[in-house]
Amino acid sequence: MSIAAEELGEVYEKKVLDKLSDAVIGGFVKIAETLRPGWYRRNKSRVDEWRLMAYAFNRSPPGIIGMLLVLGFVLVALVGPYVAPFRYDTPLQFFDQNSYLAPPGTVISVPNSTLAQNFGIKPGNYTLLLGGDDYGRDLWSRILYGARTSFVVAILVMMVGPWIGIAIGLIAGYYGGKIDELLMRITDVFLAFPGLILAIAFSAVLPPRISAFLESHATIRSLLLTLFALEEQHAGAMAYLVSVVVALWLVWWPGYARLVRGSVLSARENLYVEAARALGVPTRWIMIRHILPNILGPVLVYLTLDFGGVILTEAGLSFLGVGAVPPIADWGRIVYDGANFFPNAWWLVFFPGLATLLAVLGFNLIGDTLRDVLDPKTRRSLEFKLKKREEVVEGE
Amino acid sequence: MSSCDPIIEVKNLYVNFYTYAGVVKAIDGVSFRICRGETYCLVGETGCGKSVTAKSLTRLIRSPGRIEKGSVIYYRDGKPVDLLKLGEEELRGIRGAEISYIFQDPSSSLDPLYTIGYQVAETMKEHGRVASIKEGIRRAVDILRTVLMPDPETRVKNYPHELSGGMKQRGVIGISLSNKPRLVIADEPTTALDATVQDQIMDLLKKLKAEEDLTVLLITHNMGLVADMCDRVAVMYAGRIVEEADVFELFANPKHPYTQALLRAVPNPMKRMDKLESIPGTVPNLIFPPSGCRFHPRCPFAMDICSRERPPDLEVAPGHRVACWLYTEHGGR
Amino acid sequence: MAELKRFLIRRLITFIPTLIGVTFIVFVIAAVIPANPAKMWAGGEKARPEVVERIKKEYHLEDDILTQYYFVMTKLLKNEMVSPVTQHYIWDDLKMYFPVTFQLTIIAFFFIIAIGIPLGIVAALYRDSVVDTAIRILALTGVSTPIFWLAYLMIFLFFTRLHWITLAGTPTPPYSITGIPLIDAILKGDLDMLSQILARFGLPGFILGFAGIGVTARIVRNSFLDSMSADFTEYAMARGLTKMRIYMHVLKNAMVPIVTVLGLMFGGLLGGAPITETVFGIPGLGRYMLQAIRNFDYLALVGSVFFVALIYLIANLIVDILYAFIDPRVRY
Ligand SMILES: Nc1ncnc2c1ncn2[C@@H]1O[C@H](COP(=O)(O)OP(=O)(O)OP(=O)(O)O)[C@@H](O)[C@H]1O
Ligand SMILES: [Mg+2]
Repeated sequence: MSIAAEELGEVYEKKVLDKLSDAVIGGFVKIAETLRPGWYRRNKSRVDEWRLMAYAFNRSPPGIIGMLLVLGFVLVALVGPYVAPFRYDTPLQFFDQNSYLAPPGTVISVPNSTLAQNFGIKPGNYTLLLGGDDYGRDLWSRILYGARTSFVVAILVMMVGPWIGIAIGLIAGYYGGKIDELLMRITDVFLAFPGLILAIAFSAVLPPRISAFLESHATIRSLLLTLFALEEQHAGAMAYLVSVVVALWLVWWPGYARLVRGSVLSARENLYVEAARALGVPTRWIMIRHILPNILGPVLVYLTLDFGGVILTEAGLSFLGVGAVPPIADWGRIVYDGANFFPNAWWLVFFPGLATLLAVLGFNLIGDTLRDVLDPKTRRSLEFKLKKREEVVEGE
Repeated sequence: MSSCDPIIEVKNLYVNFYTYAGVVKAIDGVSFRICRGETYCLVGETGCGKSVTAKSLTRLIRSPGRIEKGSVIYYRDGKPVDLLKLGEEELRGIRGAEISYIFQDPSSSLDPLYTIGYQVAETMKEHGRVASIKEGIRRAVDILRTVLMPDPETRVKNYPHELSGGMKQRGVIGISLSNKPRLVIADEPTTALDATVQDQIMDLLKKLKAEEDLTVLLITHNMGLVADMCDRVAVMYAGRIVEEADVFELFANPKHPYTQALLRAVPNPMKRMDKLESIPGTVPNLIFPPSGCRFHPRCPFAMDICSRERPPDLEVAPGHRVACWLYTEHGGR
Repeated sequence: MAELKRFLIRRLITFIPTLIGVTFIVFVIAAVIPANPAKMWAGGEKARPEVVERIKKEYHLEDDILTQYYFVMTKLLKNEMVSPVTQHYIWDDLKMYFPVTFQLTIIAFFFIIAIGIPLGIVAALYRDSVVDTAIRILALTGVSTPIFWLAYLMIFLFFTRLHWITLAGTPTPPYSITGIPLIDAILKGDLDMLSQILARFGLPGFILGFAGIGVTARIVRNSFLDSMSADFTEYAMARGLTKMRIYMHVLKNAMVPIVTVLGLMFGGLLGGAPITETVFGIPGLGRYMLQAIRNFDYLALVGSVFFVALIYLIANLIVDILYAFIDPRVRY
C-alpha cells in the first residue's frame, strides 16, 4: 500500500519532522486499510488534509516545544517508576539522618540492613539529586513517581468526563426540544459555580465509598495499583486518588456539553445530515458517522488543553489536602507537605511545582498550536510559510 | 468632449496584496483622468480591481495591500498635489472632506454602536465644520433631510440597526456629503439594496449631483446604471483599464473584445438584443496573471503577440482609448 | 428605566431555579454520600449515642431528602441555622468571611483588567511580531502555572527577601460603609488603610488573577483585531477621522466580547480562592468552605455555595447590563 505523499512533497519543502509525521499517518492508513480495504481511496482527501496539518504543526516552534514537553512527560510517567533510584515511600531517614530535609546534592550512605533489603536498596553511597523531604524520602524519585500519578489520573479522567459531556451535547443538540431544554438547564446549573469547589466537595466525601468498592473488587484494585505504580499496602491511600478521578468525571463535562451541542446544532443544518435523515439512516448512525467527525476538531483542541487542565486541577486538589494522601507521590501533595518547611527546604516546593508547570505547559502549547492548525484562517498563513521559497519569489 | 478641467488624475498605478497564497497583482498600471463636474464610471466583472482602484486614490489600502508605484494628482483649487506623497494628516483632511466615499454595503460601513446623527456629526467635527458634536447633530438633521431621509428629526437619534437598508445608505450618503466634497466616490452604492430602493438612491445621487455641483466616480457592474448616469466610462479587466470612452461611443462602438463580450453579456440599454451571451472562460487568478494581454486566454481574436506583450494604449477616436493589439499593425483592423 | 427594572426583575427570577439547583446538588453530594454525619458531628467514633440521636432529631437527618433540603435552606436564609461543628450561626459566619474573599477577587480582577487589556492591545497592534508571540507564551504560561507554586515563589521574593508585604492579619477599618474594607477605604480616601490592605491583599490578588491576565490579553487581542479589520473601521478612515477617534470606535466595538469573558472570569475567580487563601492564610470564604468540607459540615458548605453561585449570577447579570449599555442592538 503506497501512500501518495510524493504529490504533496512537490509543493512543500520537507523537514525531518514531516517525514516522521508522514510515517505516523502512513502507519495509521496502513492499519485502516488492512481492517477495511479501500479505506484510503475513500478518505484520501481527509488523509491529505491531515498531512498538511501535520506539516503546519511541524513549523510552529511552540507546537514542537509542547510536543517535546509532553513526550518527556509521558516517557517519565511510563518509565519513571522503573528508573527511580528509590521507591516513592522509602524513608531514607532510617538509614542516614542526613537525608532529613536534605538539600539537593546531599550524599547519603545506606548501610546493609534487612530494612534496606525490604525497600530493595543496595548498600552504598547515594546522591539525592533534588534533596530529601521530612521522612528523608528522595525528592527526585518521588517526582518521577509523581509523573505517573498525574498521568494516570489525567488519562482516567479524560477517558470518561469529556465523553459524558459529548454524549449529553450530542443528545441535546440532535433531539432539541424538551430534552435539549432539560439537559442544558442542568448544564447551566453546573456551570453556575466553579468546578474546583464541586470537585473539592466530591473528593472529600467519596473516599469511604470508593474504599469499600475497591476492597470488594480485587481485580480493579490490582489493576489500578499497577497503573499508579503503587505497593499493595497503599491501596487505602489510593482510594483518595480514585476519588479525585471520580470527582473530576463529575465536574469535567459541562463545557463539552455546551461546545458539542452548539456544533451539532450547526452541523444538523448541513445538507449531508438532512440527506442521511431523509434516506432513513438510523439516528445513532448519523450522530456517530456524520456529526461526530465534524465536531472532532474543536473537541480535540479542548481535550488537549484539558489534559493539562486536569493535571493542574489534580495538583491543586492534592495541594488542598483533599487529593492524594501520604505516602503516595503526587506533585501537589509534595508541595502541600513541603510547604511546612518553606522557605528553608525550598526544593520541596520548587521542583514539584516546576514539574507540574512544564507538563501542563506542554499540553497547552500543543492545544494552542492545534487550534491554529485546525482553524482554516490561520492555517492558510502556516501553509504559506510552508510553500517552497521559489514559488513565492517567482510570484513577485 | 471639448475641454477637460481635471479634478483628479491617476497615472500608472500599481497595487499588490501580499497574501498567504501569494502576491496578488490587483492593479497593474492603471491611468485615467476625471474631469470636474462629470460622472466617470468604472465597470468590470467582480474582482477586477474597481474597489481597490477607488480606495487607492486616497491611500485607503490596508495591510496586506501596498500601493507599489504611480501617482494620484488631485487638482486642489487648480493646484496639483500628489495624494500618494502627501503627509498623513494633510491627506486625512482631504478624505471625507474634499474627496468622500460611499461604500457598497451601508450596514457594515456604519459603526453599529453609534447613532447615525453622531456619525454624521463626528465626520463634520473632525474636519472643523462644526465646533461640537452637539452642533453637528443639529446640522445632521438638515443633511438627512437633503438626502430625503424620512422623518430626519427622529432618525438622527437612531442606531444603524434601527434603520432600513435604504435609510442606512441615505445616512452614508449624508455622511459623504456633510463636508461639501468636490469628488464623491460611490463604490457600487446600490448593490446591497433591493431594486426599488436602488432606483430611489440613484435618483437621489443624480439630484444631489446637480444641486451640489459634484464630480462623481461611480463604480458599478450594472450597464443600465452606466447608461443612465455616466458621462465617460472606463472598462476594467483583471487590474487594468482596457477601454475608456464617452458613454455613447462605448455602447455604440465598443472596440475591445472584452467590452464587446461584456455588452453582449448584459442587456444593452442602447440596442435591442435577441439573446444574452456569457463571457466564456473564467476571471484570471491575479497571483499568476496571464502574460501579455490579461484577456488573451478568453479572447476569441487572440493572436500570437497577445500572450507575449502587453498591448499599448491606443487612441482610436477622440477621447476613446483601447488597449488591444487588434488596432495596431499586428491586428490590421 | 422602566424597561431596565422589568429586565432586572425577570433576570432575578431566573436566578431562583439555578440557585436551588446548585445548592441542591451540593446538598446531595455532602449530605447523602457520607455515611453518618451525625456521628461525625458528635465527635466521631467516641460519640455518645444520645448526643447522636439528639443531633439527628435537631437537623432532621432521618427525614426524606427533600424535607431535609427544605429545612436546611429555610433555616439558613432566616439565619436560624447553627453549625453543628462550630456552633456559630452560619449566615453570620458567611457575612464575616465573604467580604474578605470578595475584596481579594476585586483586587485580582483589577490586575486582570489593568494588565490584561493593555497587553492584548499591544499584541494586536504588533500582531505577528516578537511582542505578540511573547504575550501568547505568557498567556499560555499563565494558564499552566500551579498558582500555589507561584504563590510560594512570590512569597519568597516579596516577603522573605524584600519584606514588602505582610502575611498576617486582616486590615479592617474602624468605619464600615459597604462592609468591604477596600471599597470603604477608597470611599473615605483613607490612604493609610488602603496601603495596609494592599500590602496584605495585593500579592494574593495578583496570584489569583495571574491565569486570567493571559487569557484576557488573548481575548482582547483577537477581538481588537477583528474590530480593526471591520468595514466600519475602513469607512471611518475614508471619512477622514483622526487616529484617536478611529481607535475609539475600534475599542468600543472590541469591548463587546471582552465584557462577556471578563464577566465569566469574575465568577471563576472565586473558584481559585481556596488555594490562594490557603497559601496566604487569608480567612475568607474559600478557606471556610475547605474547613466545612473537612468537617463534613455540609450546612456551612451549602451556605457558602449559595453565596458563590449568587455572585456568579450577579456577575453575569452585570455583564448583561453593561452589554446593553455598550451595544444598542441588545435590548433588555
Ligand atoms: N484585502 C485583500 N487581500 C487580498 N486580496 C485582495 C484584498 N482586497 C482585494 N484583493 C484582491 O484584489 C482584486 C481586486 O479586488 P476589488 O475588491 O477591487 O474587486 P472589485 O472589482 O471591486 O470587485 P467587486 O465587483 O466584487 O466589488 C481581487 O482579485 C481581490 O482578490
Ligand atoms: Mg468592489
